Amino acid sequence: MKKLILSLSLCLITFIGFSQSENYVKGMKGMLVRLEAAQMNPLSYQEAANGFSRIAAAETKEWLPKYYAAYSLIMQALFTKEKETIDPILDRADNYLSEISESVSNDEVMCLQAFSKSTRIGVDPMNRGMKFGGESAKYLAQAKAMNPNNPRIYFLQGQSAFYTPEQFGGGKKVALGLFQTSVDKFGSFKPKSELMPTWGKEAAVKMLEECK
Amino acid sequence: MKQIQLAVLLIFIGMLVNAQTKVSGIVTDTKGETLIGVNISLLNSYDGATSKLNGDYSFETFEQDSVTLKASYTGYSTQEKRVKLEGKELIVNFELKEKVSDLKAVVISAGSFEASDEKKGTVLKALDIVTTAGSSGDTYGALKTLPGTQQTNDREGLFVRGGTGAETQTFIDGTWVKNAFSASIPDLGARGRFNPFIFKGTVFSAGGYSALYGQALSSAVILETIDLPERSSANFNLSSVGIGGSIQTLSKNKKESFGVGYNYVNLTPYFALIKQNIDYKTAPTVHQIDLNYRAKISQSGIIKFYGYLNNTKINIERANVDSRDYDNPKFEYNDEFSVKNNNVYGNLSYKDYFKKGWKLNIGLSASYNHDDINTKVLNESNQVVSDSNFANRNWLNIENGNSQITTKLVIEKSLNNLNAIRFGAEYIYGGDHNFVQLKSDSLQSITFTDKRLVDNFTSLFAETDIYITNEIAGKVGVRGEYSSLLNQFNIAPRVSAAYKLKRAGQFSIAYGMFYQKPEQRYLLQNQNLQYMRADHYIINYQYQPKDRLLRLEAYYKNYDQLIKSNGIPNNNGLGYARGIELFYRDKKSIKGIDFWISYSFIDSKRDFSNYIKLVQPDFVANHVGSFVFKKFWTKYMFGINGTYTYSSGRPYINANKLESSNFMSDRTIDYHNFSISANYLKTIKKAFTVFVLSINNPFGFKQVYGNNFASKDLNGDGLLYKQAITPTARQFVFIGMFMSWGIDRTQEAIDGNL
Repeated sequence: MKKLILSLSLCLITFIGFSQSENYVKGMKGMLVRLEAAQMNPLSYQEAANGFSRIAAAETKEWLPKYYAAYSLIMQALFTKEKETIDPILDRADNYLSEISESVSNDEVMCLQAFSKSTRIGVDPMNRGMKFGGESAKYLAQAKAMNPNNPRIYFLQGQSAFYTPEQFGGGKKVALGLFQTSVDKFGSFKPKSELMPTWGKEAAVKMLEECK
Repeated sequence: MKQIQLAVLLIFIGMLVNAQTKVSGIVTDTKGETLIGVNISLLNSYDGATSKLNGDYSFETFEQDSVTLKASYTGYSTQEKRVKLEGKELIVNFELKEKVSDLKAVVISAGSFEASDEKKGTVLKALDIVTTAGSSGDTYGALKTLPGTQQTNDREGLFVRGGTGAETQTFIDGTWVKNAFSASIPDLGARGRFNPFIFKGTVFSAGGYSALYGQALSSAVILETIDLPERSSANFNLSSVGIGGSIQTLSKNKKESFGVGYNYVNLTPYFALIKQNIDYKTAPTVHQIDLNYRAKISQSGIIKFYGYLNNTKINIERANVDSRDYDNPKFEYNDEFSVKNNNVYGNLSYKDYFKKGWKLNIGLSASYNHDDINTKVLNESNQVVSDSNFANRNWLNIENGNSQITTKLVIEKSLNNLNAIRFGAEYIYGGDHNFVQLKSDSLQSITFTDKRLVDNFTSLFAETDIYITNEIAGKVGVRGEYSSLLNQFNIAPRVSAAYKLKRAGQFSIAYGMFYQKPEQRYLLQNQNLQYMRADHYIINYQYQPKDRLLRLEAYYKNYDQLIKSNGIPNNNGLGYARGIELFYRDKKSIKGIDFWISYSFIDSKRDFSNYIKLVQPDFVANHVGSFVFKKFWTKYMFGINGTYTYSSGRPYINANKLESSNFMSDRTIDYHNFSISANYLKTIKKAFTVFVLSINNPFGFKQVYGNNFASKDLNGDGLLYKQAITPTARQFVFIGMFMSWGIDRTQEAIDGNL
């Protein structure tokens, strides 16, 4: 009987252990599907952010739930019309990013840092362009040093060039080259695992068309 | 054994059958308003949902038994509920309490205008100060487009709500600045000494300001210097008034920066080209060296130093008003007025945050100022007159010196919900020297005055921020001051509060008692004087929807113990000021144009200075208005800014009507001014360049600030000669080029990428 209980509980433990990691992948995949399906409105990105934050709270050792929570928040901020509410949303995104930075440092995280900074410019372009544009560019430079083949680097650089006036070294022409590079790199880009980031391709293609 | 297996199986099946539980509910705030986007989560699981447009949520879970449901939402206190999942549908509603937060809490706006990029709800951005046409890059010039200020361009200082220029004081990084204005010539006004680009925040308080500051009877201009720059840079400027450059370096670890700059101003070429109505023997000539050092000394601590050395020279010759009363071309003398000024200023500050909400602010500033002034009455052959009517004043040498050391300590403790307590102390050493000598080419000099004053001034202050909800906030403060020179103590309470209405409106009120030492020129004559006193009562309504702002403010001020200087200075002066002010800024209504309108109505009377009765002072115009607009075409990198200012006529002392019934009953003509400036931005070989052309008063409005009268009836006709005080030229034109280079390596890399 004792043996039975022991083997049963061992079974149960391995079962739970296995199921947790399987649950994690399943949960993440489910949320990623929902993120992909998110409508272009703040609430659907907020829902996604909430979902990833629930996974992040349960899986404190994983960095990807926090990454996607931050990404969803940035997207929420991007589609938020009330400018005064944008900063607090991005503050939450930055919180996740700084939590990740305590243990993980890679090109994807740097890209997201850059994305968060450049999104802050939208609140007040005249007064914020210099500061946050510079900070964003700095993160992208770091990302490039870590992995020059990440297509999101060139997509984000293209974005900032697109919204920077020609006189300040931006403009459509400059952006076109960067979006082209991004689209080329997306062509050969393979995420290291099924949960790793893949976002940006569609947007890069769309922006490239707009620049042409 | 089989039975056990069966039982286990049954339990498992039972579990599977009972497994899924639906949880739903509605989330509202404490007022019953539904909340959208709230994160409902089941602790230790992935399960949960987000509240939808009508505040409802629902999800299904396989979890069992006692679990914790958590509702979290930005700006609200998180709420947790223990519930039991038994397979039956469960309804759990949440009522979240709004947190008092920086973002939502009401800001007390009575009396003060703030320009900042970092804080919310500010009226102006830091850049607005420099881009306001007519400000000539002078902070005080830009502030003159805000309500409450007077267009006293003939005098030194900012005149606010019935107060004199001396009643407005400037504070940089917390500490008081003694010589905020550059050396000046009587009747020609003075510029602020500080370059607006070194400040990231400006608070202009037209009254009712915080207990952290004192010794300003009417108004406080509170400036905060910038922190570490983003990158290293070099700057160069060339304009119709001078040339200058600066270098700013940021250390590799981005924790330290050092900057040095030099500016040379010389208006000789400009005055040679554009005629002035007075003769400049030495056009304003300024050398200034600026230094700054900033260092992050910990995660949150920063040390900042800013300082400069300034040397200014001006020498003018203009008609002597007294001699014009001879009404005889032979005796038309001229006044020569020359000033050589040396000014040194340094400000060191340290700010840091500590555990448990403590914050420390230490400021130390020192300044030295010396004016060497010579006034001469010259005849047509350019010699000092020997006319007995000008005895004892045909050549005076006046030397004024002052030195200050100011230290200030502010400790702040943040409590829950933005509530905070602030307290601290300030010590100011002030030394003044006044020396007046009658000079002569042939005779020995006679010293009239050689006086020194020293004051050890200490103050203690405390203030508390009280936030009851996001809608109601208050500030209560008290300040105590002791001056060794006056041998007097004062206690000044300050109270303000704000209430946020629904939507974007709010009311604020402020009350405060303010004390100020009499001006040095009076203290040099009589040291048995008391503090001057003012009481401010302010009510303000502000409505700030997106990209628009409307402010209405009404105030009453009572002045007491002002200095009367008919004879030996005494504290028998008094007065009042009351008024209504309007400010409206709009970035939305006309596409691409940002404009603001300000209007001030004031009713003020004073019996002080050399006045003989309670009367509207000669620096107060009843109606003052400004219209400022800014338009920038990003496509062409070109912008135009304009400012129109109106002020009704100001009273002046008519020396021919000194009888009480007619005293100061005359008014100058109305004042109109228009300034326009055009900016063009271009990158020239990696140098970000701004070209500026600005014209003050292009339409040539006649501007009269007041009148000077002869002091003696020399021709005996019973009338004293009168001469209008006007600017030295109708127009002023400025052309300039400002270049800046980022000399940081990462910037090069980014440029390369772009």
